[in-house]
Amino acid sequence: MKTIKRYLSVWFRLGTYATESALLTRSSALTLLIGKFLRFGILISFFLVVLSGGNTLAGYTQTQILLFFMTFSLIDNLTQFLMREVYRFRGYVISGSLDFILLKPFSALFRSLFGGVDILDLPLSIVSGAAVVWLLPQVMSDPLLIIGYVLLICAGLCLATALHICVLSCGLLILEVENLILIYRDLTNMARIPISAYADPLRTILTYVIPIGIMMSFPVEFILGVLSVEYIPFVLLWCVACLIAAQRLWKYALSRYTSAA
Amino acid sequence: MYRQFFINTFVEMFTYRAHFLLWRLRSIIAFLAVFFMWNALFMQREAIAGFTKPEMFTYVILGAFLSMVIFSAKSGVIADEIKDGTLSVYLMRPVGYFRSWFMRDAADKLFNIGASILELSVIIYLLAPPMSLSTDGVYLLLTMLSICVAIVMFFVLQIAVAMAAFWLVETWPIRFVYIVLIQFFAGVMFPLSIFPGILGAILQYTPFAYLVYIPVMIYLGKYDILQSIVQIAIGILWCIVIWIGAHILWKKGLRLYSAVGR
Repeated sequence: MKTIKRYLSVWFRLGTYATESALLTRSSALTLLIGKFLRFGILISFFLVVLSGGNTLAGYTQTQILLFFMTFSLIDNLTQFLMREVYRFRGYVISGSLDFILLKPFSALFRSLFGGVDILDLPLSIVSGAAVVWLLPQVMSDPLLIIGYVLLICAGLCLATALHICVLSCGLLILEVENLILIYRDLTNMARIPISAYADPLRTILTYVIPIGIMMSFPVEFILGVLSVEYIPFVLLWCVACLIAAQRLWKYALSRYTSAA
Repeated sequence: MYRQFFINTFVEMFTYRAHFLLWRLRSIIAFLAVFFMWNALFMQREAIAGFTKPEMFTYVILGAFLSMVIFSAKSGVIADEIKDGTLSVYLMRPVGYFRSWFMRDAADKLFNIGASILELSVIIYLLAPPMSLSTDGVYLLLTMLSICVAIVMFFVLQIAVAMAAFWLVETWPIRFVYIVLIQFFAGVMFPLSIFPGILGAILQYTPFAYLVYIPVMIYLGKYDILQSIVQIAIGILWCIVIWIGAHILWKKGLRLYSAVGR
């Protein structure tokens, strides 16, 4: 408990610094925020237009597709809000600043993952969350399903964490972070629509190999009754396995770090 | 002399092969996302916004090819060069700064044309989508002309946006909004005519529409010959207006430029 408190305190302090830095140039922060909301608004408009008049996408109605998109947006924005520091990791490795992080009396992995929240992703997370709360009653048959939905969202965030740890490990091993994180973003963007819209083998890859489908689509599929409750333990086990594997990869990568910078 | 910029960029791209391959992978992922979205949308429909399934797949594939080629450019770093003072080095050289960047962009595009054709051919072979191919020589010529306009349009837009670096502390936010605008209003993800009413009409006349949307619409024969010529003329006019604007900003910016960082 004491350790968790200490880590929360460190996270809050680092988050405050990152927020102060992000809001230093107010006009820049506002412009970035406008860009994020513009992208969000255009995509919603597109789905509204293209699915108007009772049209469907992969068998899902307009409201259901909007729930898929909002769930994607919620997980995606929360991930970026919490783990923006990963985008700066390469700079720490090539400049040698990582050595200072390693010397600190707390986990270097924690610092590299959660050391710099991005406050500019929080407004969209809140808007997406509010939209999810508004859309859920319109599509679900049983209020108890929300428990499974929330569990699967948490599982999605855990999988996102595991994938970010893998990216950090690659940063240590091959000094490549930017392109990998952008590929991760491109892949997650595929989950703006249900993963079932993709043909095999792409659908299988996106579900089990790079578990974007489990992260983003499974929560909504569960709410809609497409995914049965038996899948939840499997998803949770898969999450634990991915987190353990990612942590091992990080430890291995760290053992290869030579501090050559 | 400018040929050397072209050759150097070409050699540079062979040097950073991993970076290039990851960029290509990103382009393929983006294409597959759009392709399968439209595939799913056409499962229960014959036409969407006036596009049949073969027309839409042709739109998506040609749009993807054009975006891979037109948006491949090195000139995105001009703003950084202004901000970190690297521009000073170029100002002292007896070369035109923008002309040299145009040559670098041309090399980048040539490299990407080859890669895009190869990748899309494999994808088309594997997915075998129904397509609506045009064989009309006049339309093919007009499409080629509109693609040339698109290449120049993207270059002048890149320069115009980069000029913000003379005045702003941070250029990334402006660039981010510009990327979002291009991402959607160039028409790569969806045809702009899908939006109804005045919004759809306005979107079809922004400079972004001339990057992908207009060339593909001309290819598909959605405009008659006269309309196509008018669209190309409007595109050229946009290029001239943006170029004049960028040039004025460049002149004013150079007066402010203090080579900070060098």
